[in-house]
Amino acid sequence: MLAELASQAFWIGLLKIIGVNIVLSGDNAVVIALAARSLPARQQKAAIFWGSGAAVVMRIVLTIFAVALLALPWLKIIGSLLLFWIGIKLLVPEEDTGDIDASDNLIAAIRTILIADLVMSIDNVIAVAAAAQGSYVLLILGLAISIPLVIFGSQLLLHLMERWPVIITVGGGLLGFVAGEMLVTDPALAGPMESMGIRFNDGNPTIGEVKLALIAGAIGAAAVVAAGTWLARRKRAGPASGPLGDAEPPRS
Amino acid sequence: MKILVAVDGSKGSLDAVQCLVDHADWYRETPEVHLVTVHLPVPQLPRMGLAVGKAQIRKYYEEEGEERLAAAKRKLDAAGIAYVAKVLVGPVAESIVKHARDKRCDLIYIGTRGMTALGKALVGSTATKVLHIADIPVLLVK
Repeated sequence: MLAELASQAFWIGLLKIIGVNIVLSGDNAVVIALAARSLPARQQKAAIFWGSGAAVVMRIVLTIFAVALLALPWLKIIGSLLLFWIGIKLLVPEEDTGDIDASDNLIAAIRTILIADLVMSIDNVIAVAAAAQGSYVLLILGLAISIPLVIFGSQLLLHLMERWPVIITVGGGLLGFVAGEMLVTDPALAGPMESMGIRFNDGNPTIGEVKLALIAGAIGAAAVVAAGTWLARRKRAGPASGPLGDAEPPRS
Repeated sequence: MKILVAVDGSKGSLDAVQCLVDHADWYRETPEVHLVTVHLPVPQLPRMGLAVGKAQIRKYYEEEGEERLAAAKRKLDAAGIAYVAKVLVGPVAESIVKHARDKRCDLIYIGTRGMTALGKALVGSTATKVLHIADIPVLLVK
Protein backbone atom coordinates (compact mmCIF):
# COMPACT_ATOMS: atom_id res chain seq x y z
CA MET A 1 0.00 0.00 0.00
CA LEU A 2 2.90 2.37 0.77
CA ALA A 3 4.34 1.85 -2.65
CA GLU A 4 0.94 2.62 -4.09
CA LEU A 5 0.74 5.86 -2.07
CA ALA A 6 4.01 7.10 -3.50
CA SER A 7 3.11 6.79 -7.16
CA GLN A 8 1.90 9.64 -9.30
CA ALA A 9 -0.82 7.50 -10.83
CA PHE A 10 -2.30 6.99 -7.38
CA TRP A 11 -2.73 10.70 -6.72
CA ILE A 12 -4.11 11.36 -10.17
CA GLY A 13 -6.55 8.50 -9.66
CA LEU A 14 -7.60 9.87 -6.26
CA LEU A 15 -8.23 13.34 -7.67
CA LYS A 16 -10.20 11.81 -10.51
CA ILE A 17 -12.46 9.89 -8.11
CA ILE A 18 -13.06 12.93 -5.93
CA GLY A 19 -13.74 15.12 -8.97
CA VAL A 20 -16.09 12.63 -10.61
CA ASN A 21 -17.97 12.10 -7.39
CA ILE A 22 -18.40 15.77 -6.54
CA VAL A 23 -19.47 16.78 -10.02
CA LEU A 24 -21.81 13.84 -10.41
CA SER A 25 -23.26 14.21 -6.94
CA GLY A 26 -24.71 17.55 -7.83
CA ASP A 27 -28.12 15.96 -8.35
CA ASN A 28 -27.97 14.21 -4.98
CA ALA A 29 -26.93 17.47 -3.36
CA VAL A 30 -29.92 19.25 -4.87
CA VAL A 31 -32.25 16.63 -3.45
CA ILE A 32 -30.61 16.54 -0.03
CA ALA A 33 -30.69 20.32 0.23
CA LEU A 34 -34.34 20.53 -0.84
CA ALA A 35 -35.58 17.52 1.15
CA ALA A 36 -34.03 18.72 4.39
CA ARG A 37 -35.34 22.26 3.95
CA SER A 38 -38.96 21.42 4.56
CA LEU A 39 -38.19 20.07 8.02
CA PRO A 40 -38.10 22.07 11.24
CA ALA A 41 -34.59 23.42 11.77
CA ARG A 42 -33.59 21.04 14.57
CA GLN A 43 -34.59 17.99 12.52
CA GLN A 44 -32.67 19.08 9.42
CA LYS A 45 -29.32 17.94 10.81
CA ALA A 46 -30.76 14.58 11.86
CA ALA A 47 -32.27 14.01 8.40
CA ILE A 48 -29.03 14.86 6.68
CA PHE A 49 -27.02 12.73 9.11
CA TRP A 50 -29.13 9.56 8.96
CA GLY A 51 -30.17 9.91 5.35
CA SER A 52 -26.67 10.36 4.15
CA GLY A 53 -25.05 7.94 6.58
CA ALA A 54 -27.15 5.16 5.09
CA ALA A 55 -26.49 6.51 1.61
CA VAL A 56 -22.72 6.37 2.15
CA VAL A 57 -22.82 2.72 3.22
CA MET A 58 -25.09 1.86 0.29
CA ARG A 59 -22.82 3.70 -2.11
CA ILE A 60 -19.62 2.02 -0.92
CA VAL A 61 -21.15 -1.48 -1.11
CA LEU A 62 -22.55 -0.83 -4.60
CA THR A 63 -19.27 0.57 -5.84
CA ILE A 64 -17.23 -2.36 -4.53
CA PHE A 65 -19.61 -4.66 -6.44
CA ALA A 66 -19.16 -2.56 -9.55
CA VAL A 67 -15.36 -2.69 -9.31
CA ALA A 68 -15.47 -6.48 -9.04
CA LEU A 69 -17.85 -6.75 -12.00
CA LEU A 70 -15.75 -4.47 -14.18
CA ALA A 71 -12.86 -6.92 -14.04
CA LEU A 72 -14.87 -9.29 -16.27
CA PRO A 73 -14.51 -9.07 -20.05
CA TRP A 74 -17.30 -7.26 -21.97
CA LEU A 75 -18.68 -5.60 -18.82
CA LYS A 76 -16.42 -2.59 -19.27
CA ILE A 77 -17.84 -2.12 -22.75
CA ILE A 78 -21.40 -2.35 -21.44
CA GLY A 79 -20.57 -0.07 -18.52
CA SER A 80 -18.99 2.52 -20.77
CA LEU A 81 -21.97 2.57 -23.15
CA LEU A 82 -24.23 3.04 -20.13
CA LEU A 83 -22.04 5.92 -18.93
CA PHE A 84 -22.17 7.60 -22.36
CA TRP A 85 -25.94 7.45 -22.22
CA ILE A 86 -26.11 8.73 -18.63
CA GLY A 87 -23.70 11.56 -19.51
CA ILE A 88 -25.81 12.69 -22.45
CA LYS A 89 -29.01 12.50 -20.40
CA LEU A 90 -27.42 14.65 -17.72
CA LEU A 91 -27.09 17.50 -20.21
CA VAL A 92 -30.69 17.40 -21.44
CA PRO A 93 -32.95 19.28 -19.00
CA GLU A 94 -35.80 17.27 -17.52
CA GLU A 95 -39.18 18.55 -18.73
CA ASP A 96 -41.21 18.48 -15.56
CA THR A 97 -40.66 17.52 -12.00
CA GLY A 98 -43.45 15.41 -10.54
CA ASP A 99 -45.93 16.56 -7.94
CA ILE A 100 -44.54 14.89 -4.88
CA ASP A 101 -45.73 16.03 -1.49
CA ALA A 102 -43.15 17.89 0.51
CA SER A 103 -41.88 15.70 3.31
CA ASP A 104 -42.44 17.47 6.57
CA ASN A 105 -41.51 14.61 8.85
CA LEU A 106 -38.11 13.16 9.58
CA ILE A 107 -38.71 9.62 8.31
CA ALA A 108 -40.14 10.88 5.01
CA ALA A 109 -37.18 13.18 4.49
CA ILE A 110 -34.69 10.39 5.20
CA ARG A 111 -36.58 8.15 2.77
CA THR A 112 -36.43 10.87 0.12
CA ILE A 113 -32.68 11.22 0.57
CA LEU A 114 -32.22 7.45 0.37
CA ILE A 115 -34.38 6.99 -2.75
CA ALA A 116 -32.63 9.91 -4.36
CA ASP A 117 -29.30 8.37 -3.58
CA LEU A 118 -30.30 4.98 -4.93
CA VAL A 119 -31.72 6.22 -8.24
CA MET A 120 -29.23 9.02 -8.77
CA SER A 121 -26.02 7.31 -7.78
CA ILE A 122 -25.89 4.63 -10.47
CA ASP A 123 -23.87 7.00 -12.65
CA ASN A 124 -21.52 7.82 -9.76
CA VAL A 125 -21.08 4.17 -8.87
CA ILE A 126 -20.06 3.14 -12.38
CA ALA A 127 -17.95 6.23 -12.98
CA VAL A 128 -16.15 6.00 -9.65
CA ALA A 129 -15.57 2.28 -10.13
CA ALA A 130 -14.13 3.03 -13.57
CA ALA A 131 -11.93 5.82 -12.25
CA ALA A 132 -10.61 3.55 -9.48
CA GLN A 133 -9.31 1.13 -12.12
CA GLY A 134 -9.45 -1.82 -9.78
CA SER A 135 -7.81 -0.28 -6.71
CA TYR A 136 -9.90 -0.64 -3.55
CA VAL A 137 -7.60 1.68 -1.58
CA LEU A 138 -8.23 4.44 -4.11
CA LEU A 139 -11.92 3.71 -4.14
CA ILE A 140 -12.52 3.84 -0.41
CA LEU A 141 -10.26 6.86 0.14
CA GLY A 142 -11.89 8.75 -2.71
CA LEU A 143 -15.42 8.03 -1.52
CA ALA A 144 -14.55 8.77 2.10
CA ILE A 145 -13.23 12.19 1.14
CA SER A 146 -15.85 13.24 -1.36
CA ILE A 147 -19.15 11.96 0.05
CA PRO A 148 -19.05 14.08 3.23
CA LEU A 149 -18.12 17.07 1.07
CA VAL A 150 -21.24 16.52 -1.01
CA ILE A 151 -23.53 15.94 1.94
CA PHE A 152 -22.48 18.78 4.16
CA GLY A 153 -21.91 21.11 1.25
CA SER A 154 -25.22 20.28 -0.42
CA GLN A 155 -26.61 23.78 0.03
CA LEU A 156 -23.43 25.29 -1.36
CA LEU A 157 -23.32 22.89 -4.31
CA LEU A 158 -26.95 23.72 -5.12
CA HIS A 159 -26.17 27.44 -5.20
CA LEU A 160 -23.04 26.91 -7.27
CA MET A 161 -25.01 24.91 -9.84
CA GLU A 162 -27.73 27.56 -10.00
CA ARG A 163 -25.14 30.22 -10.66
CA TRP A 164 -22.92 28.25 -13.00
CA PRO A 165 -25.00 25.60 -14.79
CA VAL A 166 -21.87 24.85 -16.83
CA ILE A 167 -20.83 22.61 -13.90
CA ILE A 168 -23.38 20.11 -15.22
CA THR A 169 -21.78 20.19 -18.65
CA VAL A 170 -18.38 19.55 -17.05
CA GLY A 171 -19.93 16.58 -15.24
CA GLY A 172 -21.23 15.21 -18.53
CA GLY A 173 -17.82 15.65 -20.13
CA LEU A 174 -16.15 13.86 -17.23
CA LEU A 175 -18.55 10.94 -17.61
CA GLY A 176 -17.71 10.80 -21.32
CA PHE A 177 -14.00 10.80 -20.52
CA VAL A 178 -14.24 7.97 -18.01
CA ALA A 179 -16.51 6.04 -20.39
CA GLY A 180 -14.05 6.40 -23.27
CA GLU A 181 -11.16 5.29 -21.09
CA MET A 182 -13.08 2.29 -19.87
CA LEU A 183 -14.20 1.26 -23.34
CA VAL A 184 -10.72 0.72 -24.75
CA THR A 185 -9.37 -1.06 -21.67
CA ASP A 186 -11.89 -3.90 -21.78
CA PRO A 187 -9.98 -7.18 -21.83
CA ALA A 188 -12.28 -8.48 -24.58
CA LEU A 189 -10.85 -5.87 -26.96
CA ALA A 190 -7.21 -6.69 -26.22
CA GLY A 191 -7.01 -9.48 -28.80
CA PRO A 192 -8.55 -7.59 -31.75
CA MET A 193 -6.53 -4.45 -30.93
CA GLU A 194 -3.26 -6.36 -30.84
CA SER A 195 -4.02 -7.82 -34.24
CA MET A 196 -4.61 -4.23 -35.46
CA GLY A 197 -1.03 -3.41 -34.43
CA ILE A 198 -1.68 -1.58 -31.16
CA ARG A 199 1.09 -2.22 -28.66
CA PHE A 200 0.51 -2.90 -24.97
CA ASN A 201 2.62 -1.28 -22.23
CA ASP A 202 1.91 -2.89 -18.84
CA GLY A 203 -1.50 -3.88 -20.13
CA ASN A 204 -2.28 -0.37 -21.39
CA PRO A 205 -2.95 -0.10 -25.13
CA THR A 206 -0.62 2.52 -26.60
CA ILE A 207 -0.44 4.30 -29.95
CA GLY A 208 3.01 5.77 -30.53
CA GLU A 209 3.92 7.13 -27.09
CA VAL A 210 0.34 8.11 -26.11
CA LYS A 211 -1.95 5.89 -24.09
CA LEU A 212 -5.00 4.94 -26.13
CA ALA A 213 -7.17 5.46 -23.02
CA LEU A 214 -6.35 9.19 -23.01
CA ILE A 215 -7.31 9.60 -26.65
CA ALA A 216 -10.50 7.61 -26.20
CA GLY A 217 -11.32 9.62 -23.07
CA ALA A 218 -10.93 12.93 -24.88
CA ILE A 219 -13.06 11.74 -27.77
CA GLY A 220 -15.66 10.40 -25.32
CA ALA A 221 -15.84 13.69 -23.43
CA ALA A 222 -16.21 15.69 -26.64
CA ALA A 223 -18.85 13.30 -27.97
CA VAL A 224 -20.99 13.46 -24.81
CA VAL A 225 -20.82 17.25 -24.56
CA ALA A 226 -21.59 17.68 -28.27
CA ALA A 227 -24.48 15.22 -28.32
CA GLY A 228 -25.90 16.45 -25.02
CA THR A 229 -25.78 20.13 -25.97
CA TRP A 230 -27.34 19.41 -29.36
CA LEU A 231 -30.20 17.40 -27.88
CA ALA A 232 -30.79 19.99 -25.17
CA ARG A 233 -30.96 22.76 -27.77
CA ARG A 234 -33.33 20.74 -29.94
CA LYS A 235 -35.56 20.03 -26.96
CA ARG A 236 -35.64 23.69 -25.98
CA ALA A 237 -36.56 24.66 -29.55
CA GLY A 238 -39.22 21.93 -29.70
CA PRO A 239 -42.13 23.40 -27.69
CA ALA A 240 -41.73 26.74 -29.51
CA SER A 241 -42.69 25.18 -32.83
CA GLY A 242 -45.97 26.32 -34.35
CA PRO A 243 -49.05 24.14 -35.01
CA LEU A 244 -47.68 23.33 -38.46
CA GLY A 245 -44.47 22.08 -36.92
CA ASP A 246 -42.37 24.76 -38.62
CA ALA A 247 -39.92 25.07 -35.75
CA GLU A 248 -37.62 28.03 -35.86
CA PRO A 249 -33.96 27.08 -36.02
CA PRO A 250 -32.54 27.35 -32.49
CA ARG A 251 -30.74 30.57 -31.86
CA SER A 252 -27.69 30.14 -29.68
CA MET B 1 -45.73 56.55 -11.13
CA LYS B 2 -44.71 52.94 -10.76
CA ILE B 3 -41.23 52.04 -9.59
CA LEU B 4 -39.59 48.62 -9.59
CA VAL B 5 -36.92 48.08 -6.93
CA ALA B 6 -34.72 45.03 -7.38
CA VAL B 7 -32.83 43.68 -4.36
CA ASP B 8 -30.69 40.63 -3.58
CA GLY B 9 -30.42 41.09 0.18
CA SER B 10 -26.96 42.65 -0.02
CA LYS B 11 -26.00 45.97 1.52
CA GLY B 12 -25.54 47.49 -1.92
CA SER B 13 -29.08 46.62 -2.91
CA LEU B 14 -30.43 48.03 0.36
CA ASP B 15 -28.78 51.32 -0.53
CA ALA B 16 -31.09 51.43 -3.53
CA VAL B 17 -34.11 51.02 -1.24
CA GLN B 18 -32.74 53.70 1.08
CA CYS B 19 -32.30 56.05 -1.84
CA LEU B 20 -35.92 55.55 -2.86
CA VAL B 21 -37.06 56.17 0.72
CA ASP B 22 -34.94 59.31 1.05
CA HIS B 23 -36.16 60.78 -2.20
CA ALA B 24 -39.76 59.64 -2.21
CA ASP B 25 -40.71 63.33 -2.21
CA TRP B 26 -39.14 63.71 -5.67
CA TYR B 27 -42.38 62.36 -7.03
CA ARG B 28 -45.61 64.34 -7.03
CA GLU B 29 -47.57 61.44 -5.55
CA THR B 30 -46.26 58.53 -3.49
CA PRO B 31 -44.94 56.05 -6.07
CA GLU B 32 -46.40 52.56 -6.42
CA VAL B 33 -43.47 50.31 -5.51
CA HIS B 34 -42.86 46.83 -6.89
CA LEU B 35 -40.19 45.20 -4.74
CA VAL B 36 -38.64 42.13 -6.37
CA THR B 37 -35.81 39.70 -5.87
CA VAL B 38 -34.75 37.08 -8.43
CA HIS B 39 -33.87 33.51 -7.56
CA LEU B 40 -31.89 31.51 -10.10
CA PRO B 41 -33.73 28.34 -11.14
CA VAL B 42 -32.53 25.03 -9.71
CA PRO B 43 -30.88 22.84 -12.33
CA GLN B 44 -33.22 20.34 -13.97
CA LEU B 45 -31.50 17.02 -13.59
CA PRO B 46 -32.55 13.59 -14.78
CA ARG B 47 -34.65 11.63 -12.27
CA MET B 48 -34.85 14.56 -9.87
CA GLY B 49 -38.64 14.42 -10.17
CA LEU B 50 -38.58 11.10 -8.32
CA ALA B 51 -37.48 12.74 -5.14
CA VAL B 52 -38.39 16.42 -5.22
CA GLY B 53 -41.81 17.82 -6.03
CA LYS B 54 -42.75 21.12 -7.63
CA ALA B 55 -44.31 22.39 -4.40
CA GLN B 56 -41.05 21.76 -2.60
CA ILE B 57 -39.04 23.69 -5.15
CA ARG B 58 -41.55 26.55 -5.10
CA LYS B 59 -41.29 26.67 -1.33
CA TYR B 60 -37.53 26.79 -1.56
CA TYR B 61 -37.66 29.80 -3.91
CA GLU B 62 -40.18 31.56 -1.65
CA GLU B 63 -38.16 30.99 1.52
CA GLU B 64 -34.84 32.07 0.10
CA GLY B 65 -36.50 35.00 -1.67
CA GLU B 66 -38.22 36.15 1.53
CA GLU B 67 -34.87 36.18 3.31
CA ARG B 68 -33.50 38.52 0.69
CA LEU B 69 -36.55 40.75 0.72
CA ALA B 70 -36.84 41.04 4.51
CA ALA B 71 -34.52 43.99 5.14
CA ALA B 72 -35.89 45.97 2.20
CA LYS B 73 -39.46 45.37 3.39
CA ARG B 74 -38.57 46.65 6.85
CA LYS B 75 -37.13 49.83 5.36
CA LEU B 76 -40.20 50.50 3.24
CA ASP B 77 -42.57 49.68 6.11
CA ALA B 78 -40.72 52.07 8.41
CA ALA B 79 -40.98 54.83 5.81
CA GLY B 80 -44.67 54.12 5.31
CA ILE B 81 -44.32 53.41 1.60
CA ALA B 82 -46.76 50.83 0.27
CA TYR B 83 -45.35 48.10 -1.95
CA VAL B 84 -46.02 44.78 -3.62
CA ALA B 85 -43.24 42.23 -3.02
CA LYS B 86 -42.53 39.28 -5.29
CA VAL B 87 -39.94 36.54 -5.72
CA LEU B 88 -39.12 35.97 -9.39
CA VAL B 89 -37.41 32.88 -10.76
CA GLY B 90 -35.18 32.98 -13.80
CA PRO B 91 -32.09 34.72 -15.18
CA VAL B 92 -31.59 37.78 -12.96
CA ALA B 93 -31.41 40.81 -15.25
CA GLU B 94 -33.91 39.46 -17.80
CA SER B 95 -36.47 38.66 -15.10
CA ILE B 96 -36.20 42.14 -13.58
CA VAL B 97 -36.71 43.86 -16.93
CA LYS B 98 -39.55 41.54 -17.91
CA HIS B 99 -41.36 42.13 -14.62
CA ALA B 100 -40.96 45.90 -15.04
CA ARG B 101 -42.48 45.60 -18.51
CA ASP B 102 -45.36 43.36 -17.33
CA LYS B 103 -46.27 45.73 -14.50
CA ARG B 104 -45.78 48.78 -16.74
CA CYS B 105 -43.23 50.34 -14.39
CA ASP B 106 -41.79 53.75 -15.25
CA LEU B 107 -38.45 53.37 -13.52
CA ILE B 108 -36.13 50.67 -12.17
CA TYR B 109 -34.08 51.24 -9.00
CA ILE B 110 -31.12 48.92 -8.59
CA GLY B 111 -27.94 48.89 -6.49
CA THR B 112 -24.61 48.53 -8.21
CA ARG B 113 -22.90 46.25 -5.73
CA GLY B 114 -24.25 42.75 -5.43
CA MET B 115 -23.62 39.90 -3.04
CA THR B 116 -20.83 37.87 -4.53
CA ALA B 117 -17.11 38.36 -4.58
CA LEU B 118 -17.25 37.92 -8.32
CA GLY B 119 -19.86 40.66 -8.45
CA LYS B 120 -17.42 42.98 -6.73
CA ALA B 121 -14.77 42.25 -9.30
CA LEU B 122 -17.10 43.03 -12.19
CA VAL B 123 -18.70 46.01 -10.47
CA GLY B 124 -22.43 45.64 -10.75
CA SER B 125 -22.57 43.10 -13.53
CA THR B 126 -26.30 42.55 -12.97
CA ALA B 127 -26.99 46.29 -12.83
CA THR B 128 -25.03 46.79 -16.04
CA LYS B 129 -27.04 44.11 -17.79
CA VAL B 130 -30.34 45.56 -16.60
CA LEU B 131 -29.21 48.95 -17.90
CA HIS B 132 -28.41 47.41 -21.27
CA ILE B 133 -31.60 45.48 -21.84
CA ALA B 134 -34.19 47.72 -20.16
CA ASP B 135 -36.38 49.93 -22.33
CA ILE B 136 -37.35 52.21 -19.45
CA PRO B 137 -35.14 54.52 -17.34
CA VAL B 138 -32.86 52.76 -14.85
CA LEU B 139 -31.57 54.46 -11.71
CA LEU B 140 -28.28 52.99 -10.55
CA VAL B 141 -27.57 53.60 -6.87
CA LYS B 142 -23.91 53.72 -5.87
